[in-house]
This record gives sequence, C-alpha cells and structure tokens, in this order.
Amino acid sequence: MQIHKLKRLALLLPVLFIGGVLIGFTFLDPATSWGMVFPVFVILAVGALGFTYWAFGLIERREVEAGWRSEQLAALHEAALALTEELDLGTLLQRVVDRARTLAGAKYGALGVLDENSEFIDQFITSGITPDQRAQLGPLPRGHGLLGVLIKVGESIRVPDIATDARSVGFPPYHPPMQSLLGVPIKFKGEILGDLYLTNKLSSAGAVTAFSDEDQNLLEMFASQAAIAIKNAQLYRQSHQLALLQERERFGMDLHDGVIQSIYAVGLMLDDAQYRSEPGPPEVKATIARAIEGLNDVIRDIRNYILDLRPQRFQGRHLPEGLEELAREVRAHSFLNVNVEIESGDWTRLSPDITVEILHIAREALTNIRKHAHASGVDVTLKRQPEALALAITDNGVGFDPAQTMNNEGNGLRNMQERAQALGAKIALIQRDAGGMSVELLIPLHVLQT
Amino acid sequence: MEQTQAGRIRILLADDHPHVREQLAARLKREPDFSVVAVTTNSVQTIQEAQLRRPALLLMDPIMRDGLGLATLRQVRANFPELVIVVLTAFVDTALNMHFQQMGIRHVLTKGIASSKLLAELRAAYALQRSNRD
Repeated sequence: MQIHKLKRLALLLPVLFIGGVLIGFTFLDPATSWGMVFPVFVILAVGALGFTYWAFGLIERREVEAGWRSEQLAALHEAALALTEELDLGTLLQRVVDRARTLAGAKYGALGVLDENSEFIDQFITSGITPDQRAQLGPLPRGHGLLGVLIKVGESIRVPDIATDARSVGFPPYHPPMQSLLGVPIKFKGEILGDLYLTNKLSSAGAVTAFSDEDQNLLEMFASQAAIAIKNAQLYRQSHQLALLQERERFGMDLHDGVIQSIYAVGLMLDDAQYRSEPGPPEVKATIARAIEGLNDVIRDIRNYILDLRPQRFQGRHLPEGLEELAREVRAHSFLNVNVEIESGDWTRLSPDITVEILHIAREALTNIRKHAHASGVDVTLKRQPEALALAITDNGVGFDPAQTMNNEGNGLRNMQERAQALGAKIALIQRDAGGMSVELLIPLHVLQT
Repeated sequence: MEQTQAGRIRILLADDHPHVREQLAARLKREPDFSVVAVTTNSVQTIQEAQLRRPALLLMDPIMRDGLGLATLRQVRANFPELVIVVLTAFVDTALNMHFQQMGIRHVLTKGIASSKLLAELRAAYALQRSNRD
C-alpha cells in the first residue's frame, strides 16, 4: 500500500471511530446532550489528526532519507564493481579517484599512493584538474601539511576551510584554489596503501560547501572497497612480473646453452679454416679474421642483453658494497678494467632508497660505457664534499657529444637524468680532454638527510 | 715422442657442447707446447680423467647439462690442489662469480674470447702456478 493512501486512511479512520463511539454513547445514555458530545468529539478528532500528521511527516522524511541513502549505496556498489573489473594498477588508481570524486560530489580529487614503508607519497593521481594545471604544479606534494596528517595519523580528516586550518602549510604557486577537504586513508589489513583526498564539495547550486558526515561515511566505505581492488591489482602485477622474470631466466639459459655456444663453435671453426688455408691469399685471412671478430661481437651483445634482463640485486646493500658488486659484474662481462675508489667512512646511514637509486644510475652509466664507449678502463669514485656526495664514473673511451646524445632516448642517458632529477641530484656529463667521458653525480646533503 | 711430451702443458678439456669441444680440442692440439691428454663430455668423466691422466691444467665449462659442473670443480679442486683450473663459459653472473671466488678459481674466461687471447691466458695461468710453486 502506498504511503499517501495509508495516510488518508489513517486520517479518516480515527475520526470515524471517535464519531462512532460518541454516537454509540448518546444512544446508550439518552441523558447526554449533543452540546456536551460535540466539543469532546472536536477535541479528540483534532488530537488524533494532529498526531497522524506528525507521525506521517516523520515517516515521509525517513523515506526520503532512505531513498537518498539507497541511491548512494547503489552508487557505491556500482563504483566498487567498476573497481573489481580493473587489473591494471595505473588505470585502477585513476578510476578510484574519479569515482570517489563523483560519489561525494567534489570538484577535485587526488589519490596519494605511499611508498613501501608508508612514509612518503610515491604517486599522486589527480582528478578534476586539467593536465596543464597539473604540469604547472611541478613535483609531487611532499606531505608536509594537511596531506601529511593523513599519512602520519592514518585516520580520516575533514576540514571545512583549508586556509584557516592550523595544520595547513599553504599551497604552492599555480595551485587551484581549494577550500573544503575530506581525506580518507585506504587501508588493507592495517597497512596504509594510500590516501584519498577530495576538495571543494559542490552543492546542487554549484557553490563550494563543507563535506558532511554522510560524505565521510560513504568515502570510508568506498575506500575499503578500493583497498581490496588495489591490493588485488598489486598482487596480480606481482605474479605477472614473477612469471616474466622466470621467462627471462629461461630465456637467458636458452641463450647460454644454445646461441652463445653455437656462435662460439662457428667462430672456432672459422679459426680452424683460417689455419688450414695457410699460406692462402692474405685477403681471405683478413676476411676470416673480421668474421670471427664479428661473431665475438654478437656474443658480447647477447651477453649484455642477458645482463640487462637480469633482475638487479641491489636491495639491502650499502653503497660501497653495491658499487663493488657492479664493478665485479662489469669485469666479468667485458674486458673493462674497473677501478673502484671509495672514501673511507661510514656509508651505512644512507637510506636504502637513495642507495638503490644511486646504484641504478651507476649501473646505467657503466652499461653505457660497456656498450658505446669502446673504453678499456673505468674509474668509479665516491667522495664526500662539504655540501654534497659526489659519484664520478670516468672512462677512457671515445667520448661523445653530450648535447647531441642527450636527445637520444635509446641510450640510457635520459634514464640517468630522470633518476637524478627524481632524487633531487645534479648530473653532469663531461667530455675529458684526455679522451673519454665523465659522468658526475652530485647529491646535495639536504637530500640525503630527508 | 715421450721426450717431446715432457715439456708440454698437459690439458684436460671438459665441455658438454659437442662443436665447441671438438673445435677447442683441435685448436689446442695445434699448439706445440700444449698436449690435450683427455677430452670429457660430462662431470663424472671429468673427475675420472683428472684422476687417471693427472693433467696440469683443466679447461672446463662448468655449466653442464648434468648440473654437476660446479660440484665437479669443487672436488677436483680439493683432490688436486696443484691442478690449474681455467673456467671458460658462456655467461658469468654475480652468483657464479662468487662460487669461483670461494673455490679460489682466479681464471674465468667467457666464450667469445679470441683464440689467441685464450691461448695466452692458458699459458699465463700455467706460468703463474709454476712460479707460485717454485
């Protein structure tokens, strides 16, 4: 039965009932006068009608609320479903922040993904700002102000006006104006995977308002769904990478057992042919020698290729150890004479993240030398300067024009530059007068201390 | 014949790749100061021949399909400390290098090395051992 029919009935029935009872009384007791009965009827009827109106008003309000709530839950359900379909982590994260923004009716949204130790913002995915705006904003937020509160405390945060909040540290230049904030952690079994931030809740009229309790509840529910989806995508990615690694290992073994051996055997046969052709025409001898050299180059390329496919085992190493290991590896696979010189002292306090980054840059530099420099020797030196840590990788090869080569994506220099930039370090490629190149990496002390 | 054999470096060659083995043996035999005393195709054979022929130098690719190459090296190392061991393999990674270091094997070469260089390395390794012993 519909609520307004019920209401009509509820209004009519008590009046009829009271009327009926009073008429019954007057019949049973002829002494009662109509003048007495009528006011009693009016009073009772008004009371009953008033109560009914009040009760139904309440029911109707609850119903509107329930309708709104079920709409929200439907939206939440739909949003959560949309998440579970996605296995690609990058796409998923973007979808999470987009959905969260529409769910709570916010103008801007962002998702900060934390690093493994749940300390720093590793990725910052935005929604609602244009790519141009994003580009103008520059580097990732460091999590000093209000964003940091969420990271450190791990509980939801709701602020009606960011500007007046004591924990705020202000916005960088070109940041779009933001007023109200709602932030919710994305937790999976107690581990914080990331934080979801919404700003500028828009009312139906389009004005910026504060976020409500309901918004917070809804976003928290959504965040718990998002956590499962993100973890799922992470696990999927991991298993995928593992399969890829195993494939590469197998691939490496095949190259070892098959290709390198066979090419080497052919080289030896040519070597034998050269010997047997003696004293043949000198051109034949020279041609065979070139062929052997060519085959040996191919083997070297294949080896470099396998080396590049190998996972790096830098995790958990201190910088000097890591550099020595790199040097060993390069020595094993080339005829490069690698000399490592490390200033004595305590290098163990360097954070693992920075250490790994430095080692990656060093590896990239050594790979470049191995592949392109035609060098016979490399010096790797690590020194402390008053204001910075200095790593120099210097070879005695053919050198190149840095201005030209920088634009070339294929050779790893760009990679090195990007890593250095992300680290907040300076990197310079210097052409040496004596021939060869020097890659110099300067990591300012303030970077090391963070 | 025995007379001329005496001054030669007695070499045991172990490699399970047939073409590489064949070609390497032929190349080594061409050198007047080398004598290839045995050529083996697997780990067990290598230990047996090392015992039987008492070579001065073992040239081996320890990455063998029987999976016992490294164990063989370790055993040969222990049984014949005087034997010069030169590893010649297709690919050396950090883990493999550490095995060699632990065993005290200092001569590790990779396939693709020019033959002249390989021969020079073998002579140098042998000479080093002689000078250490004297």
